[in-house]
Amino acid sequence: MSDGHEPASGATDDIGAVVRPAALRVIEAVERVMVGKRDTVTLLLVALFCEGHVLLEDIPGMGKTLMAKALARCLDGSFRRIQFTPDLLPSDVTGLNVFDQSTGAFRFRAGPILANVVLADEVNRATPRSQACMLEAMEERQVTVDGETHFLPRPFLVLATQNPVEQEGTFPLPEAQLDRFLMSIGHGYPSEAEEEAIVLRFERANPLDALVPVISGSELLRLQALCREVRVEESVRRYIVRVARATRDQAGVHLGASPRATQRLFAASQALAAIRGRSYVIPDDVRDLAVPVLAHRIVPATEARLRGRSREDLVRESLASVPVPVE
Amino acid sequence: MNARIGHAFSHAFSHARPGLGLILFVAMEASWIGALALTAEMMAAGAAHGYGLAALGFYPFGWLVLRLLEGGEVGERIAAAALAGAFLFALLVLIAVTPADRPERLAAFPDWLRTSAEAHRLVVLVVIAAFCFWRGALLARRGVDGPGVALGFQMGLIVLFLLFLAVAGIDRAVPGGIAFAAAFVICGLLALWAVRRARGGAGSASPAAAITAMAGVLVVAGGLAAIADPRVTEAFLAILAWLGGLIASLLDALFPPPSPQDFPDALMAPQGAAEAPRQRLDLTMPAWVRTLFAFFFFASMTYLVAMALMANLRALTNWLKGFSRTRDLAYDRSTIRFEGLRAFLAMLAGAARAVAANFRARIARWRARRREPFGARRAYRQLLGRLAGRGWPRRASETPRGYAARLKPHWRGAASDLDLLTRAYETERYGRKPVTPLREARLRIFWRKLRRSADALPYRQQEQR
Repeated sequence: MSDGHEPASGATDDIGAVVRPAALRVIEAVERVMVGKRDTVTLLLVALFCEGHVLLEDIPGMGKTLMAKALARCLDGSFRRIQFTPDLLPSDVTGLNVFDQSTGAFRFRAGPILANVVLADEVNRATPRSQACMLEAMEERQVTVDGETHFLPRPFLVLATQNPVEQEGTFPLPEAQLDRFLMSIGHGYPSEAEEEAIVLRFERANPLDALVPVISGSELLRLQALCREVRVEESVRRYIVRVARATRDQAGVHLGASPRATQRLFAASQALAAIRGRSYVIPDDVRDLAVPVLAHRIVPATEARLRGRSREDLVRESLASVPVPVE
Repeated sequence: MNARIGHAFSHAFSHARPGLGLILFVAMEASWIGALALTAEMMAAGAAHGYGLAALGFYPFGWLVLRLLEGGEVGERIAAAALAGAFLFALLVLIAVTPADRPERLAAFPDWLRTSAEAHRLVVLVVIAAFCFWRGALLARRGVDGPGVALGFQMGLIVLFLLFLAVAGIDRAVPGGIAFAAAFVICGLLALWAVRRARGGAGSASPAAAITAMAGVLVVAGGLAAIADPRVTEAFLAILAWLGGLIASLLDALFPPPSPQDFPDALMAPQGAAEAPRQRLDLTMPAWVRTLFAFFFFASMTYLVAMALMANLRALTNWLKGFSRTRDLAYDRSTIRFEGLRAFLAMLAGAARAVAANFRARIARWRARRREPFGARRAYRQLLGRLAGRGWPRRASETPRGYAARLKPHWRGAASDLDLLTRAYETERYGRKPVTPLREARLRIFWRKLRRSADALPYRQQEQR
């Protein structure tokens, strides 16, 4: 999936004219660090613009953490990284109340989750108890410590990474937590030319150090509001619902996409349309996002797993069964 | 050789599928049988020769009505209606002019048509020529492979015709007919050679193309022969027209057009190399009207032919049993004429009712579309219909961009126009943007280009959606 820039055919209009240049600024900045990952960066931006969280799932050394850092650097906001380990405690994430001897009262010491961009590195290495502490933060954008609720700053984005091949000492994320991620992305090996470019780019200095913020927090909030204004025509809206529902009726799927998935696919389609310079969603936006948004939310049946049908295949099959609204 | 004959038959009958289209086609082919049967009867009895063509007229008329029912562009339907009217006129001329014993029925016709056999023949020739060319062009564009069905019936017709020859015999010397046949064969071979040469030795594009070439040659040769020898009657033209169709079908079956698999690179394949798609009838009229029409049409044809054959059989039986001293087919001409006319009118009544019912809905739709301003949605809808007709339908789960991407490799010349139309359609359909005059003007330009180039797309076998 590319960012699919629309040619000058009159399609770009008010919302697109505002969102697209900002998106391009971020993409170009991240691309100074990352090589050949435009599709992944575009998906990250989709998540950023529709206030979703992203699960970066790939084998070690593929640049997941680097990408998350690069994106965080492009935003003029706070960035915190949490290295998830089996001995991580929930209070290490959310923060805790400590006794202040000078005042003789308890004072809340904020955890790393209270930041604009949070990198949850190797999230599946923490125990389910620690993983669960992020549920409230991701969905409700608040944490509760000792009965006191603390609201998270806006914008708020969780970029979690996990390694799919290392099973030793990991705790797979439960469905409830997976459902809180807007999308799951894996970008795979680079091509030969891209790998050579990576070597050259990091030959002398780390380009990450040179990155400066290209978008402010207030501007990001405005872009998020604009994305919500993107038009979704009635038939396209029905198409989104049907695509999500098709995963529930799909043979080989034990558990289909939730209504939350439908709602997130809708919002993500709006954001992608705006990034592509349009003020309306077209079926291609939905199709391009269906796999990253829905695949990690469905549970394949045992038979499908034994037959080697991946979650992505199941979503693609569902897509193929839904008619696209055309004349 | 056996393999070739087997291939010819499999080609012929693979297209025969149940359904109204097939019934209509059978009825139309049956009218050929009727035409020939009546012509042979008239010749054997030494009677006038008009009835053969009267029955022959059912075939083109039926085809035109079928075309009207099939729908398509407004212009095509108007052309079909005009040609149907022309055929009706020709039939009325034949019915009214031929019986010289009813002068009062001739009063309505102009002198040149009433008194001149040449003028009479000319009208028929012109109408048949127009029909042949129109039908060929239609078949070629739509990829209709009805000739497969026709071939099967024509095989049966050979037997029937030989039977008539054996029983009645034709002992008249007809040099004009021989000249006509020779001209037909020579011109036909020349046409085929020209077609092969134009396509780089790849053969004809489709059965329809061969039929078109043959029909054209037939009419030219028939006209020349008719001028050379006045004894070349419409009956011979009818028989030779049928032979031409049969030869064309056989040639096409024996030398099928190349399939896309013959060309590693699809773009290198000559245009039209793909096998023509099967005929897909999409009759939008109510089912009961369709059934009624089919019933009238088929019943009238069957009735007409059965009447003629039964009367003939009765006469032959009488002759064989010795009840009659001559083998003249002593049927009651006036009865045949009356019954034939009645059957024809019954068919017309059914067809007219069907057409009227069909046109009510079509006219309503046409008016609604006329009210709709020209825009990308209308253009895109027409493009979809046009491309589907050429075997490139959009899959139900395919987005407009996905469809365009699939078409582009096969339609290189129109890639940018297709992109523009697709994006304009998206803007109008999903973005609900109004059509501005400037955009409409631009749209008209690249829509015209697209429409022209869509007709140049190669035919493609229909795929399962």
